[in-house]
Amino acid sequence: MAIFQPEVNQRILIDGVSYALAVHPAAPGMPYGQEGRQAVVYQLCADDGHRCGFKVFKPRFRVPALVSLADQLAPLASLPGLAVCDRTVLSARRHHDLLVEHPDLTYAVLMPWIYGPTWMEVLLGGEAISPKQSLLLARSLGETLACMEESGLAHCDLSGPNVLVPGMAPESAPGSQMIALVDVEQMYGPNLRRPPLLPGGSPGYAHKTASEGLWSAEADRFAGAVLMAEMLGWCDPRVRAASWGESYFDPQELGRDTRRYSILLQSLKEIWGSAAAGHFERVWHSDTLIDCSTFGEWLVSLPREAPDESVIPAEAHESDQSSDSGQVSHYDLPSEHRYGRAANRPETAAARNLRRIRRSGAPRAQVLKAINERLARIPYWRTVGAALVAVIMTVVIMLVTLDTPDRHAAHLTRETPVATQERQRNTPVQPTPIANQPPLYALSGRVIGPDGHGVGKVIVRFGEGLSSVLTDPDGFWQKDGLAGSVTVKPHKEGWAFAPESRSAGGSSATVDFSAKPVTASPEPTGTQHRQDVPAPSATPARTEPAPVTRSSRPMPPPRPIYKVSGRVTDEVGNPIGGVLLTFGSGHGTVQTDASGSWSKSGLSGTIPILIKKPGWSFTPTIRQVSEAGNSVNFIGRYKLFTLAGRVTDIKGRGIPGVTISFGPGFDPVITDRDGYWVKMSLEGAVTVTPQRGSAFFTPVSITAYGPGVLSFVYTPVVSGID
Amino acid sequence: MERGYSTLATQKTPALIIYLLDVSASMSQPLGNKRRIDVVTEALSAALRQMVFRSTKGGRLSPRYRVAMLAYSDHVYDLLNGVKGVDQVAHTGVPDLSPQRTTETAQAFARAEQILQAELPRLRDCPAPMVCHMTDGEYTGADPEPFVSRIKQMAVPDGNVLVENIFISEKVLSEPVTDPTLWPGIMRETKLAADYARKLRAMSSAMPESYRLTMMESNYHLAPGASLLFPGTSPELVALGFQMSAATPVR
Repeated sequence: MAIFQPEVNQRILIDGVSYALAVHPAAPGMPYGQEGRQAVVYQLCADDGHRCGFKVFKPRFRVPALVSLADQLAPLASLPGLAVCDRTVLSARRHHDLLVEHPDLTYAVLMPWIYGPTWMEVLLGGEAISPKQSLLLARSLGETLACMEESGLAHCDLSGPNVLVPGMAPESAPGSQMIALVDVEQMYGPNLRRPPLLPGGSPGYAHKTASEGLWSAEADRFAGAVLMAEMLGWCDPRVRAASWGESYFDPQELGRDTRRYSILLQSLKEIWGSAAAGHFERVWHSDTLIDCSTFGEWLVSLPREAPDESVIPAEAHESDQSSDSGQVSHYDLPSEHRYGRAANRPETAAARNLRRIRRSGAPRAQVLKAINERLARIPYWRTVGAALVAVIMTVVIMLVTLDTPDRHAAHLTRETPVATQERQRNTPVQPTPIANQPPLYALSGRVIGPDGHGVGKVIVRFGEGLSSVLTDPDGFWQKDGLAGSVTVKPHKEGWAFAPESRSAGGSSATVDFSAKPVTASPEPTGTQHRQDVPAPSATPARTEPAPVTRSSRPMPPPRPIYKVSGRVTDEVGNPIGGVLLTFGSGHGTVQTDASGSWSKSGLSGTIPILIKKPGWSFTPTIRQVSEAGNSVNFIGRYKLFTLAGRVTDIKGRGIPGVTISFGPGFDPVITDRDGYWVKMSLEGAVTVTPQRGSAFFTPVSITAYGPGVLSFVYTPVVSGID
Repeated sequence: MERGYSTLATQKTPALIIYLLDVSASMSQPLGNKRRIDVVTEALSAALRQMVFRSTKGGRLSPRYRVAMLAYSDHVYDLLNGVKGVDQVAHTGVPDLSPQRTTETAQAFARAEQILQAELPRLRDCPAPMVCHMTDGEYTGADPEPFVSRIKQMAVPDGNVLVENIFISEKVLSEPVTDPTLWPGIMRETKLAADYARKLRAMSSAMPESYRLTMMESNYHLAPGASLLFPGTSPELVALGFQMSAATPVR
């Protein structure tokens, strides 16, 4: 039996996109792969540089249900921390040739690559984090799990390796989440199918009942609580010193009153208060998962702000380091990594670095990195909460119809001042959206004659006040800029149509008609008009036409069959997955994969392509293809979304009275007394710019294409000081 | 008697695997369309890759395996210069193996015994170590079995030291293995075609259930109680043998 043993740079073609196997960052010459219980996840790199995860399952875990599971998971990709739900599954039906070549790739999953360390890596690294970072991590995980809990979802296999921390990645993408969950194949949900093999909990995070199989709405309560407690406790040197290894707890000691448990519980009480400690105590001694605290309860128990660092104990004493399992001390870390040194000064250092980089006109990536360093140190839970309300409401609606693919991922870019001016020069001013205006849509279709060919020069009308269009020689037509309901009615002298008219409205669609001649001298259809028969007489009423029958006509030459492909991205090139492309004249539909790519074969003639994804608009709305091509691309824009954020000074203090403008064409908002702001019902590319007097803000502006949390740092202009 | 063999290989409790590789002159003979030595190198590389993948979490390689590689012929050659973490071995890769002359198997096991004696006190919380021996012919010199018996008596709380043998020879089974994924393995009652194969079976440990379950996830159907003796009659079976050596449970 062939085993998939790829080599570095080996090429794999998936849905028309060529990927190369990336090299392992720590093992030269080997592909970048990581093996879990069910699969090996490889990193793939597309030609345009974007990275994907490629999950190749072990034979026992290759099940056809993965295909439908991907469809069901797709809407969840918009939930905070669940971007990995946006995926393509390789199946014999859609990827026949690839699977013939590599049978081991059956039901393999192509999904976004999540950057950043796993929580397990953070534990193994043993590096200190500040109380602010502890709270940020625990709250982010809690919010993700609470959001899932409220939607009736559970991951069912939470553990350190399955929780990634993109917010701690040096190369974290702008707008990326602080926390991301991976390995979602066993997820529980209202419409999700029970997997054939239930997870039994991961070592270090498994409740005493987990061996019976985890698959319920409460499945995450124990593991999630242990993870949150680890995160909250990690700012305490006593906790770090007592950590077992790949998890804080030795897998054998869960639920028991051990020394590690006492240390962590004591730390939670001292630093985060009795409410959070009480939840951990309750979870630790629970007999069933239902007895465990909900994540909503956890969130309520957490303080709004991290405590002053003076409450953190000094370095652990020597006696604290010798754990009952021979814990290796982390105190051989360089001094700059120790808590109480670098942690006391990071904001100043990071901000100074940012200012230096900005002044030097450094490349954008370097500026972004510096900004990320700043953002990682700014308390943000309140701003996240505001945006989360909007996201949760959207998600709850989506979950009612889990089969509707959608995504609300934020795509943010931060600009340098020069970039902003450049963009503003090049961006046309857009009209201000009118409240309650129905969305515009497009219709297209084809008029087909009795011989199966298109009928040209048919007038297609759409009702009073709307201009009509003519079909092309192959019978195709299209109409943009429609609003509300319309009645589509074809007309051509001497022809009858079925149906006589069709109603359409609200969304883009294909509207086809069949036509047949009602006079003795029908105009030949389609291209045959030009090629096969004489042009009709200008005075047909008195002229006996030459009898034209189907049998007397020469057979038209066979139309070539062709294939087209392309990508759907947003305006800055981020892929948009789950976009539905409908091919006219009954040629079916395809969906874009995680990389935004799509391909369609078996086409002939001129075919209109309609593109659609709830919540998104596309340019162009319709395209026609008539020959093979591999760059039939579309640009998508997210429609209505909410942005929230905070303006702080360099020390993290909120700045009130800052005007936040949203260009083009939206009313501004003013930050509240703590520096927070929220703006709803935004659409398209929105440039967010703070302003207060002559103060300087970093970044100068941020362009957003979807929901997100944006932070700005305020620097007052003081005479004589930059 | 089999014990748990359930301790997980982690960075804190890594699994120790000692490879003993016969590089006698006969290893230059063909197996399939390659030399035996090349088949072994490829299979060992695949096993190393598996260990690397199992040790990779995010961008970090947390060594869950520690490895020693001893090639033997007239002498024993320590290919890695001691026991190394899989993260270090990943940087160097599997050393080039070139056939030598005789087959001093006992010397190789004697060296393995020394390594285990030195390592065992530190392996109290770790999975039971594994000695994976690959050969293609009978030993020359001393009988290795007494060394192997002593090694199999060594133990950590997780279980006794495991000894696996991969015998590249046509004289192991009376019936060829047509599909390795359906092959149940060599049982106590399985008829073997050569005396040395029977000796190697006696020198091999019983397959721990946890290892067998790990292999089942890769679609192998080895039977409970099968021996850790693998007939290297095809590159696929050699690969199976080396894959088994790294089947220590991981989280």
